[in-house]
Parts: sequence; C-alpha cells; structure tokens
Amino acid sequence: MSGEERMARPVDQPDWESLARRALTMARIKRGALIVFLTLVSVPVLLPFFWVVVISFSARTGGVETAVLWKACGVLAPCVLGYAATHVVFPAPRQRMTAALVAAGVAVAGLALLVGSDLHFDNYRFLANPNLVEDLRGAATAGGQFPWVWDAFFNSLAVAAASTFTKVLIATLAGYYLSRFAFRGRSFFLQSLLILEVFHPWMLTIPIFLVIFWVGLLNTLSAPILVLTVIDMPFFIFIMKGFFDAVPWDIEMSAMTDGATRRQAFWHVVLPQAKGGIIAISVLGFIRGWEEYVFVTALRTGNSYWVMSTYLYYVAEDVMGVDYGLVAAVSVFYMLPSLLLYLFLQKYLTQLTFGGVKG
Amino acid sequence: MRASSTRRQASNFAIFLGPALAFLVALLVVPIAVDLVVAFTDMAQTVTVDEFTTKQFKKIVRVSDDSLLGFELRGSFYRALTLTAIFVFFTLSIFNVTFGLVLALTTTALPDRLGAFFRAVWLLPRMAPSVVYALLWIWVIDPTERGLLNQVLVNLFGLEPVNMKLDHPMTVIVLSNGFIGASIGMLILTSSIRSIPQHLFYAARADGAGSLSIIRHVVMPALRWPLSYITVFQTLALLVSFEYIFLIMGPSRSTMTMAMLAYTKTLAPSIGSGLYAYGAAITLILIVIGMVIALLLYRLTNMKSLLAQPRIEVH
Amino acid sequence: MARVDLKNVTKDWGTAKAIDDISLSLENGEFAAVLGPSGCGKSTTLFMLAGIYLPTSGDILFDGARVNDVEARDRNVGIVFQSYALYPNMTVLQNITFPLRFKEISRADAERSAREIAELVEIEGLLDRRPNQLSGGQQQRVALARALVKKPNLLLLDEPLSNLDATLRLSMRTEIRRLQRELGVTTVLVTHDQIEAMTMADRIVCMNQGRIEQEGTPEALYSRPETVFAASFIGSPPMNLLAGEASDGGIKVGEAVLDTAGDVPPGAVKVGIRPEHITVNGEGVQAEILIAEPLGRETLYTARSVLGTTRFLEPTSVPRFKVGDQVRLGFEPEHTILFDGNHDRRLEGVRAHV
Repeated sequence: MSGEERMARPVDQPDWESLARRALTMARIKRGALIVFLTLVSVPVLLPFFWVVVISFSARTGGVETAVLWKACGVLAPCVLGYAATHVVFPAPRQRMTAALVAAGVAVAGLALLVGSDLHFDNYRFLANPNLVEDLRGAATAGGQFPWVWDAFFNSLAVAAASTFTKVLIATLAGYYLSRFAFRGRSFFLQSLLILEVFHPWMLTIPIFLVIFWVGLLNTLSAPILVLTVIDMPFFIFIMKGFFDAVPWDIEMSAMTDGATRRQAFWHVVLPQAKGGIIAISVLGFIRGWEEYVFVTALRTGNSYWVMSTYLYYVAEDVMGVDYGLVAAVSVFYMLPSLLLYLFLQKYLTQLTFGGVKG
Repeated sequence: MRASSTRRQASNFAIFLGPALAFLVALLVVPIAVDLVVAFTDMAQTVTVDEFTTKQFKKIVRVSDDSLLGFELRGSFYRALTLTAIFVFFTLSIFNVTFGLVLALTTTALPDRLGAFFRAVWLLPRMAPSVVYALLWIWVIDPTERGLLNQVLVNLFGLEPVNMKLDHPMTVIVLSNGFIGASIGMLILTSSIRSIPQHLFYAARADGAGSLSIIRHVVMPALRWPLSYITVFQTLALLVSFEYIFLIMGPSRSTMTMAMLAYTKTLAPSIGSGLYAYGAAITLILIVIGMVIALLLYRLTNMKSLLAQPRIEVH
Repeated sequence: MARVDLKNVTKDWGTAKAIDDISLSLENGEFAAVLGPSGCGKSTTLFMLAGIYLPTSGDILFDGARVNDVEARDRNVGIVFQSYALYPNMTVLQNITFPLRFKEISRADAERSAREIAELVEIEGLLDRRPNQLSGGQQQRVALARALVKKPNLLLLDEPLSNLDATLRLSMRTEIRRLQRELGVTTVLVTHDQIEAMTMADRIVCMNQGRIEQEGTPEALYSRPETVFAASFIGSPPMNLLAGEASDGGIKVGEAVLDTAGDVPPGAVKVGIRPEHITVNGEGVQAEILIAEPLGRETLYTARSVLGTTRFLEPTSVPRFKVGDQVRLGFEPEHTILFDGNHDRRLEGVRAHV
C-alpha cells in the first residue's frame, strides 16, 4: 500500500479489499498445506497395504515383483495429486466431479496399459485347493496336518461371531441395567468395573490359561471364544451405559404409563435408541475376534484347531515362506472381511464416546 | 405384592447383570486371584504345585546390602524393565498422544469427507488382523533389497540398505505399535473436538482469533481430560501388549519387554518354556502397576455422571 | 460503526434454500430486529453478517465495500449467542479481554477497557469468576461485554434473551437498548419474540421462509402489515383474519355481508381486524362468548358469530361477560385491513365494516 492510499482512508477504516484477498489466499494455503501434510504421513500407512495387494496379483513362482508396484504407483500418484490440486483450486462440486472422473479414467487406463499383463489370479489357488501343502511340496512332506483354508475361515468366523454375539448381548443387558435400574451395590459394581477395565486379558494370559486348563476346555474352540467374550467387556458395558444414559427418561416413563413393563419398555422403546452403540461394539468385537492370535495359540497345545490367524502365520513362517505371492494372497483374503465391515460401518465407530471421562 | 416385587427385582438382576457378572468373575477376577497364588509356587510344565515359595521373585530381584532399597534387580529383569520403559515412553509420547492429537486436529480442520478419508487410512492398521499387520512390517523392513523400505532408500534416496530388525529393533516396535496407537488417540480426540459447542468456535472467530489461537484457547482446554485419559490408559495398554512385538520380532532379546518375557517363558507357541510360576510373578508386577493405573483412572472419571441415580424406582 | 448492506443475498444448504434473495440496508447506529419463526433464516442472515457463513450469491457491504471474503476475525463484529458461548476455561476478565489479544493493544490497556466495559454492564464484581459460577443473567452480561469491548463495527445479537426468565428478560431489554444508544453501535437483533423486537428496535425486518416479508418501524408493522404473514405474526393476541369473498355487493364473510369503502377487486379477500379494535354492544353482529381469559390488565374473549370465530379484548381485569353470554360485535372501517386472498398481500385504500 502506498503512502498516498493510506492518507486517503480514514484511520479507523480497515482496508476491506486487501483483507478479503489475504483471507482467500490464507484459506487456500492452509487447506493445501493440511492436505499435503496428511497425504505425506498417510503414504507410509497405505503403501504396504497396497503393496501386498499388488504382490498377491502379480508375483509369479515365489519372487516379489516390485516393478509392478512402482509402475502402479507411478500411475496412481499423479492422478491423486492432480485430483487434489483441482479440488483445492475449483470449489464447484460439478468441476470436482469432472476432475474425479477424469482422474479415475486416467488411472484405470494407465494401470491397464502398464501392468495389466502382469496381473493374474494364480496365487489365489489356495481357495480352491484343499491340499495346498502337498501341491507345493509333494504328497509325503506335510503329513496331512495342514487344513484347507475354508476350515480355518469357518473356524475364525465361528470364533468371531460367537464371541461378538455373546459379548454384545451381555454388554447391552448390563449397560442397560447399570444405566436404568436402582439396586443395592450399584455404585460398588460400577467402581469395580472401572478397575476391571484396567485388567486386559493380555496381562492375565498365564492365569487364564491355568483356569481354562483346570476346567478342561484346553484345545477346544470354546476356550478362545470365552476369553474373547471377556476382552474389552467392561469397556463395552461402559459404552452401552453411555448410550442408554443418553436416552431421555421421559420416553421410558411414557412407555410405562402406556402399560409396558420395564422389560417391555427396554425392548420396544429404549433398545432401538441405542442401535448405533450396538452396531459400533459389534464391529469392534467382530474385528477383534477375527484377528485373534494370542489366545488361540495360548489355549491349545497342538494343532487341535485352525483359525485364519494361525493359518496365515503357518503359511508365512513354516510352509511356504518363500512363496511371497501365495502369502500375500492369503493375507488379502484374511483382511477382506475386517476391512469390508469397517468400510461400511465406520461412521458408527467415529460416533463412539469413551466411557465416563470428564469433559 | 411386596414379595412379587422382590422376586422381580432379583430376576431382573439375574437376567441383566448375571451373565456379565459370571464372565467377569470367571475370566478376570478368578485369574487375578489364581495369579496371586501361583506367583508364590514352583509351578512349571507339569502344571502341578510341589511347594509354596518366593523363589520366583528371587529370579527377579536379589538381596543386596549395598543398594539403597536393600535389593537390586537381576540382569534379565532389569533389561526387560528398561526396554519396557523406553518402548512405552517413546510410543506413547510420539504416537499415541502427540501424533494422535495432530491427526485429530488436522482431519477436523478439513471438510468432513476429506477428514474422514484420512482418518479411515490411519485406522487401517488397527482394523487389519494383527498377523497381517505384523507380516507387512516384516516385509517392509526385510533386510534384503526386496524390503519396501530398502527399495525406497536405495532407489529413491540412493542410500545403503538397512537391517532395521538387527540395528534398530526398538525403532521397529515403537513405529509398529505407534501406527496403531495414534489411531486410537485420533478417534477419542476427534470425538472430543466434535463435542465442543459450535458457537464457541464462532465466538472465537468473531473475537478475532486465528486457527492457532482457536486451537490454543478453545480446543486444547476441552481436550485436557481426554488427553490425560489417553495417556493413562495407553500407558497400560503398551505395558501389557506383546502381540505385535512377538509377531514382528519373535523372541529376540533386543525387544524383550516385561510382557514379552512373561509370554515367552510360558505360552508363546513352539518356544514357550512353561515356567508358569515365573510368568505369574511377572504378571503380578503388572497387576500391581495396573492397580496404580486404575487409581489414576478413578481421578479422571466423572463419578457424578457415572453414578447418577436412575430416575425410575420400580422394577 | 458502520453502514451495512445486504444486496440480493442468497444462501443454499445443498439443495435447500435458506435465504432467498434478500436485500437490506442498515444505517450507521441503527438498531434493527430480524423477526421471524424458527427456521425462517434469520440466524443464517446473522452468521453471514459475522463472516461465519458465506453467502451463495449476492454481496455483503460494510460502508459500501464488499466484505464477502473477509474472514470473521477481520470484520470487527461482536456477537452475543443464545448459549452465550463463553470460554469455560477462562475467567470473566479473560473472556472479556480475549478479543483484545488479537489487536495491537498492551495488556494493561486491554484490562482497562475490559474493566470499563464491565462497569458499563455492571459485572465489575465478577471478573475473577468462571462462567460456570455465574447465573444466566450474569453470563449474558459477560457475553455482551465481550462483544462490545473491541468497539465493534456491528453488534449482532442472536436470541440473546431467550434463555432468561421473564423478569430478567424485561430488565435486560432496557439494558441492551440503553447500551446501544450510549455506544451508538449498529446493531442487529435476531429474535422470534415480537415483543422483544417491538420494544427494542428502531426498525423491524420480518422474515419468513428465507424472504423478507416486510420491514419498517414497529408502529408501521403493527398498524400497516403488508402481508397476511406479517399481520398474523406481529401482535399478541394475533389479528383476526376473516376469510371472505368480495363482489359488487360487499364482502361475504360466512353468512354476513360486510360493507366496503373503496374499490375492492372481486375475488377472495381476508379482512384483518385487531382484537382491541372490536367494539362491543354497539352496532354489529350477534355473537356468543365461547371462552373468557383474564390476562391481568385486560380480558381476552373468544366469540362465535356469523363472521366465524373472533377474538376481542376488553380493558377490564375482571371479565364482564361469562361463557354463553350474547354480545354484539362490530368494528370501524378505519381499523380494518384488507388482504388479497390469493396473494396474501395488503390491498391499498380499501376498508370494510359491519
């Protein structure tokens, strides 16, 4: 601003135009910087996952095909950056939509052109072949111990589903009771629960093993199911109590004056209001059960049962450690259910509030 | 009338709270008690008790007249304690708290969808099964030129390949646990930031505050309790966690934290040596630390709202 | 202090139109009230003036300069929120000096201005407290002090009195009005309470569904409402609106026919008459009292007649009539307002009487 202009304006009159210009530039710089920062820190997280997917579709006869990864990145990175740049510069939704379509089109075309011929499904043959070890090493070697992947898959599904169902049911009932019922010892129970929250079963692996051993459940699938049910249970009870606390008393009172018993009021009126919480803890519980490794290995002495985690561990460590393509394909197959569940239900997870912390 | 009400009260208690009580007692309270006993026995592979003894603790500490407290820690346990402290401190301070906070602040400053996208990316490690996540780390830090890290270092920056597992074992476990820990801090803090009344942000902007001033004067004061909660809780979680360390590093001496020590001496697949009483003794130390954490947690909890009395009296 | 203009401003939330092409000018030092039911877009308008929402199209001008893109922090606007939005972690004094942190003012000067303004709103004894130790009325005064301390170009009040109880509301009304006069700051008050708007503002802007229905002085809005909405929204108890059909022989309302003065165009009309302008037991139609409600100083009756259901006020604290009584109700032509029944707009120069 020149001296003359400064004189022309009264002292207390702000220079609206330059303020507006500054605001627009600053907003753009700020958003650009945030996006660049978050993109940079997210690359180390995303790249390995992307890599394992690429390997599973491209590795042949055991080797790791790294060229495919870098070619694919070479196509995708400019597309994403280009889209991000247009997103910052053009605010209109229609322009952004066009940019997204163009970027996606270029990406698909580029990938098809550069790496399309390298892709194949051969590494996923484990899904159809019940006797993978013999296929790889010849009939005599593995001793018939290693299961078909679907056996492990359905065992994992059973463990995850059973433990999640039990845990969610128990946490919902207890959360409601602690939120809504007056009974003697309520505050003692709540405070004890707060202490129990601290004792993660990981900490108690050894004594839990002993308890399971003494009741004779070692080497059965019910052992990890029972232990998984208890993992995070105090935490889930607090989450559900929080959701029930947020349901207005009035609707329960009005249900009761309309003739419902408390159990009916719970079932028909209060429970539907806590649906978001139930979905959230179900997702968390399932993902937890699906990935479990420590307790499924700690609570069996031989190979009495297989689940996906032990299957993958075995594939990676013992049997076919050199066949990267196969290991990657098993990993992708194993990840898929967790990730799909998470992708579709993630909005419920971000709504969670965390048990009773001062605000 | 009276009797039926009492009966209903009892049956409600049994239906709603009974199952939770049974599970918590059987698989948390009883194991804690079992641990208290077993830690003072000689239980090993055979899972039988021959005598009650304090010899497990003698493996951990040694009576010594020279030291200030009258005893000193034995080498292997001293090492485990040091490694645990380093692991917990760096993971917590760099990732679970600081980086979690940075992610929460930056993603909430972006438009909703974009912020949610970056949060989803950072939750990936948490949502992927632990064995897969560990496998990815093993492959990324593979010491040959096949490893993703070495490919980047060699091809992009022209550096020498590194052997992370051998040369920087603690960095590996701090990073691998930190990537997961950051997402938990991010989730809790994001929901705390979201629950700040929108009008407070408007008021601060109208009062002339810029983004940094808003973070300092409006956001940070609201995050005081959540941050303490994360610090306390994640300290404990890191203290007792061994899954990722075991899966990535195996029973390597360089990353043998306390929880790892207890696990490898007892139940770790194919290498666990079944020294149950020794493991129970280490567990007992963790239980004691857990009690201290529980007391801290007590102070962070809003007891008034936690214990708020129900407003319907009938059952 | 500033002159403020809105020019053809619209605001869309996705596909929904919150503000539909409004234009408005505020003179320097004027006190304007934006009045309307909830969801009419009045708070959106306020937040656009503050720079918190951005208009989809149209311009916002401060002293003739376009400020659309100027950030809230640079506009030098003071806002008082319905929730007060005090910073819970700061003392009252810190709350009030907060806006001055971002100006080139020394700490001592900032504190001095804060104390001056605190004295003005009479909270000088509360400066060391925290917001959660204050009553609603005190919080409200702190919020007002915080908004005024930086000598804003424009003071925005978003339903500032709606969380206060009735007595406090009455005294705060006068208080705010006094401060505004004293400081001469251009002020916009957003409210759904027509009494608040009528008593405090120089000018009322009546909004409905994102549009301005009518603007003008409180007297003008009360005595000459331009639309049926303005007529029914302003005034308590609300104006009687009798739906009828105009023809050469007068206006047919129910079974009665009203005489007209001036040329009433034939078609549907609404005849508006305020409850206090209905005469009792003079010339008029037979009516039966349905409800009698003592309001304290006066009594509000609801009566049924050939005209339909009508409300009227009587200046007696003890009801003169009881339910079931027969009365005669009438009104003078100069007190009637006629609206076009299809467009709900006022018809100029025409009257009706019984």
